[in-house]
Amino acid sequence: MNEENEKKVRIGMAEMIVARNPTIISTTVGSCIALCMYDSINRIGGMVHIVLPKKEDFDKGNINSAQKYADTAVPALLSALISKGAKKEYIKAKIAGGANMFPIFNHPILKIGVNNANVVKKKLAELGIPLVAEDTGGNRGRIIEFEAGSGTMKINTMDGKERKI
Amino acid sequence: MSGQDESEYGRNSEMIPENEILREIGSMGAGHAATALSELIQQKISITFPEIFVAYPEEVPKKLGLHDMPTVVIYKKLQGSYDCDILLVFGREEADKIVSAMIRNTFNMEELDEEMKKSAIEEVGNIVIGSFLSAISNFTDMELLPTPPIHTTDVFDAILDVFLAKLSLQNRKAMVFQTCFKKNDEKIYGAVIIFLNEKLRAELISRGKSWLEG
Repeated sequence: MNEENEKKVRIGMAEMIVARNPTIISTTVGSCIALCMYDSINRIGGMVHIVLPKKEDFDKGNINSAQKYADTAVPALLSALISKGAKKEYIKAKIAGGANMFPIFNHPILKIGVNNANVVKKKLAELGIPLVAEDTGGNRGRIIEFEAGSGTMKINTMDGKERKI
Repeated sequence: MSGQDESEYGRNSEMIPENEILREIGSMGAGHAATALSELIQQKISITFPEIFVAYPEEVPKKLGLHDMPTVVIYKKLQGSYDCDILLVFGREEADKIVSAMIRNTFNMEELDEEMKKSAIEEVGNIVIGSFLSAISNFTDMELLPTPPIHTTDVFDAILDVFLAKLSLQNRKAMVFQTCFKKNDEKIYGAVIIFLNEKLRAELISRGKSWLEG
């Protein structure tokens, strides 16, 4: 986990970052989930790029493993935000991703996107963090830009559509 | 040089021949793929083999460095116990050029509808990946049968992540072959990416070794 104060920072798979206003955190997801949490009162937010649903099923000590799995990444990002000065009662969450990139191909792995989103939501509910917006499912990749201070998430797809949540 | 240098080399030497054997086999497959692509579009295509690497799945997007580039990815899987994923990647514009050239040469047509483009790009996958695999099959005397192709067009990292998730599920590292396709002076970006599994890798090395040694 890094803390950065540059204007723009990109994260990759299984990476996490917490930053203060006015940093923009970006990533690109297909079946993965970009989970963003922020405290807009204290102008601090973070993003984690989640790859798989559950740590205990698969992990054999890969790099960044806590951040890679939904069930461990959600509490990891929450702790990181609180340790950098966010207040739990102000923290909200948004998620994007969880697509099925090859919808015509029937393989269990392609349901990973849906499973990822479900485990993230369940874990947020357990921790009492409100999920205020989401843009999940479908079959398109998402290019995401998250404003750490305000919590605005900008989502672009290759068909040229842009959404803000 | 000193004995210390020799022992350094000695420690590494177990690794070098295995990578070299895979590079040798991969280059042969890529050479045949280039010939097939050349015939398809009736222009000379050459292929270089700039990189073969092994990495954790999450390191792969940074190593390939394509990120948000719009790409066409044609996917095939090896059937049977070798179960591993093969991706043929082209930049979206390059894929359009290849398809146009192929259809012009094959059907003498300028206008393409979406359905023809879709079939054509999957046929490119059949031919290029098929040639790649049959060259390796002939060399190693292994049966490498791929599934029919499916393809998608999207930003590269979004397409890649499901394959990397799958490798993570199986606790496997990714072994990546990255190939550049070149046409005349114009650089066409293309890559054949194969995620080898341990069984296939060991088999290729063992068969390659006995061929190279004698």
